[in-house]
Amino acid sequence: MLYVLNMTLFLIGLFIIVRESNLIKKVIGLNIFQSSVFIFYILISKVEGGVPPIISADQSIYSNPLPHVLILTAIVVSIATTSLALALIIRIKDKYGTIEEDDIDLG
Amino acid sequence: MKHHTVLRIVTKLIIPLILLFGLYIQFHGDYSAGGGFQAGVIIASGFILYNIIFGLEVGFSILSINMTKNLMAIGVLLYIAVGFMGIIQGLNFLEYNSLLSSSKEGQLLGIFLVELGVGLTVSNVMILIFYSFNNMGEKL
Amino acid sequence: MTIALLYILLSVLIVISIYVIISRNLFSVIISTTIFSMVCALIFLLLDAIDVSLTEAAVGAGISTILFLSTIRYVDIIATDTKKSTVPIVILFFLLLDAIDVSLTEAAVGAGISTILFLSTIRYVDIIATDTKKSAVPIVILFFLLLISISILIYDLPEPGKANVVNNSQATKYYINNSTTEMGVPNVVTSVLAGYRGFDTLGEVIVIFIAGISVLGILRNTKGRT
Repeated sequence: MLYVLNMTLFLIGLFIIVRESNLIKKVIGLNIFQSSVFIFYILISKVEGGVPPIISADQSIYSNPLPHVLILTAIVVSIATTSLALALIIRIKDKYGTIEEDDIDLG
Repeated sequence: MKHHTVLRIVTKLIIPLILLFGLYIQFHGDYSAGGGFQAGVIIASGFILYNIIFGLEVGFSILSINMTKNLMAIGVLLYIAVGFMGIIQGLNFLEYNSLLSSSKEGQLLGIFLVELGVGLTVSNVMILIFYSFNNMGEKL
Repeated sequence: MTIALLYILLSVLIVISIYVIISRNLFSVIISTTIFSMVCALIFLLLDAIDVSLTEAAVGAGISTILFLSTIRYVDIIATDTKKSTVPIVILFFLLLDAIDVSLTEAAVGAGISTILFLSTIRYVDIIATDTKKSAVPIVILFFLLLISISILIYDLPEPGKANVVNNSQATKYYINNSTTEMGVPNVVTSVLAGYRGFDTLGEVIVIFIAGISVLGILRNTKGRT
């Protein structure tokens, strides 16, 4: 049932990307979309009765560390993408005078 | 924002703690949560806070754009150099076993240097992006 | 207890993202994104992912907010309402949320009613599309495909917490058992990231480097507001 909430977040993020006309809100929708995917991966990596994956002598059940590694890389890639998108938005504002997608005149 | 007294004093008290915390996260990545990426971002945040409060000119006099670009490249080159140390001694790329006397110590040194390279690159890229967003035209 | 907290926090995330859709003031939307990242970091902490939580808190609530606020200096703070019509997509949305819980044996029956509703919204969309600048039909088709694939995916997933019983991966067991003896590093995430999978981390550092120099190149000749 938690996955239903997660997929709702996924679809809301997709909705924001597709529907919003303001470019900055599209980038925020992209961030929400990516966060929902991260939550999904970490949800399936949790082990009941487990502890964070730092080896110590008196614990024996650890949560799965492989999705953590994947998501660490994905978070860092997401800021790279966001910063590039924002730099492009500044350029678009400079060249076309507006960042509303409906008003950009490509002619 | 330099003339707001509360902001100035609190920033002067907090920024050394932020940088110290960033260094702690960088070097204790082996024993608790942390590593190169988190440390790079935290150190960049501390420096960016200093720039916001005291002005971009002061920030440029401490860490100019040329220095940022150089440190960014040095981080990546450090990572690749650690990788090539293995090839020089006949093993695979990025194999840390041959760096020191025993295999386990070689792994520890390799992970330390690699995380240092990652931390350098990430922090300088974040600072460079902040500089270029706030300083159009000249000086880039 | 953890599961109940997770339900509450995910609902908070959904409320924040609905606020992002509705609000038109960009400054408040950016601060909501910061709160979104902090709640995400809390969720990651509850799920035993401490490295990811630290990274998300530092990146999402720190750097991301700073970059968005630096961009706001150059654009207008109020976003205009989109000119595309919303009603057909909202109808599809409710279809999606209902259909996620339909089991596979009922999907055959539900597909008939869904198709009829879908066709009736297509009829509605045709009438509206002459006014909007952008047709909503591609969006509708995309959401329908997502509906089908998400229903199939969710049907087979195990409960959160019990996934490890279902698939015991060989790689995970090897990394957990051998991290202290081979690497001498107790933190399994760091030893996998920088030791066992060091090549992927090299690629990631190069991606960050390329992002840095690309931003430098894009913003080199821009004349902004001073």
